[in-house]
Amino acid sequence: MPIDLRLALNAVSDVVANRPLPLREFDQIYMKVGDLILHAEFVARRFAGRNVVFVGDGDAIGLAIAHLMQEKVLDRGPSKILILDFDERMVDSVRSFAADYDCADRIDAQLYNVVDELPDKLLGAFDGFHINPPWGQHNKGESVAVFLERAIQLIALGGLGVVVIADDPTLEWTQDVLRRSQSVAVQAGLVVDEMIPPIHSYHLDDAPELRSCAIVFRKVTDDRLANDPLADARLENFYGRGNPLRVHYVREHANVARRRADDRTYELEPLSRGGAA
Amino acid sequence: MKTIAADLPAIVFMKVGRHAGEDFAAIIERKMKEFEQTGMIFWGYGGGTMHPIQRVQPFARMMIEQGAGLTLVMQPIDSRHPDTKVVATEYSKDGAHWEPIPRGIEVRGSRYALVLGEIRPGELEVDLLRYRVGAGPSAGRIASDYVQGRVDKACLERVETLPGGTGGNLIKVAYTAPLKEPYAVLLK
Repeated sequence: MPIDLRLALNAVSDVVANRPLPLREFDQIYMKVGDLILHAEFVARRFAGRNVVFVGDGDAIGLAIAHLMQEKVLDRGPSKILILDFDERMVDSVRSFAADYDCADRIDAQLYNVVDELPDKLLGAFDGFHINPPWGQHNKGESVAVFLERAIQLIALGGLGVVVIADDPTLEWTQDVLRRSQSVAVQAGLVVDEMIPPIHSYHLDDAPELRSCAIVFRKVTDDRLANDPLADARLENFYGRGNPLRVHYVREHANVARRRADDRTYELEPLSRGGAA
Repeated sequence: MKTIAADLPAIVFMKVGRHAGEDFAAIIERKMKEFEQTGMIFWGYGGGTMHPIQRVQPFARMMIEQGAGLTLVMQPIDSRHPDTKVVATEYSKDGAHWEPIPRGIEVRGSRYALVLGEIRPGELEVDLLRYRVGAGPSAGRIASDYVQGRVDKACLERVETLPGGTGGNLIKVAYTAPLKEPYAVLLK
């Protein structure tokens, strides 16, 4: 079904306006909106009818899919979506948006950091996963491998997984990470089902031309992965050179002014007219 | 002014000019006083290409480990930075712990700052063909290809072999300053 571009843009505009500002310190870098819409449509199509888990979703792809379906811009997509994220601002923003826009029956979010073992009840409970992890430039793709291994454990046999990572043939590190990621997936019982070439662009000022691809994997055998806390050695350079994983959760300061302009950033200057009281 | 030989192993290159309603000459004078009073300088900057924690600090540590110093080189340009009266009150090395800006230091209209030693005047020619990007996803790109358009600052390391073995892309630099630990900080 062709999508109505105006309706799609307006729906994703709702989602983007709801997103917390990215924390650059944790490699939160948002995908540009045009590419976000294209990717959301692709993911919704591939995951139609499936119960899908997003391990990290700062871009709000999952929420965009749920909202596009709710607004009937997309006529198919996942039956259920669960967002796992270590940033409570993301979790809360998904939940409040879902409540406000009437799609809480399709999407939910909960706090989780890949450093921890997965809750037992989630293991193998899904038939689709989506990750867009830190791209692993300075840890030989270890951060991608960590997210990927957690995500693989969440899906049952026959499940699909979408991995979004950097892909630029002129940048050797992206090719090394691509190769390592595919190797990790294959060793954990997955095969490559489809690969979308590098098309997604990001709000990344020092590499504006860098794109990500999307690899779709399919789980064909048991993963045999251990569900253990992450070993210390895997935390190094997690968010970039010299930036290990050392924050468990980003906690949101409770406030009642969500989605309202921060009044510390402006003041109101009264209209001054003669005779006015 | 005496020309300085451009033989720095690692540099932070930055185009500089009028900033936050203050002429460049006045900024330099104020920053030199800052150094006299405090022994260091917070050099404010913005943009999205040189995040203190993601880009500058790791690059600086790597260079220091390799035994290379790290120097800010400034190329004056006509700048159209908007006037603003906002002054930072706190800084952070890691984004988690915040401290008051040291007495005697004032940073205007910037969300980040390099931490510098003494600023030295002097003409310097930097050949951007002899440097490559040293941090971030564009690491390895030749500086003369990278520093253009909206990109006006970069962490660069010297390369020994010229690409194509020819040419040069000389940039006139008017001031330099060594970076000091913690090299770069967030401001608010």
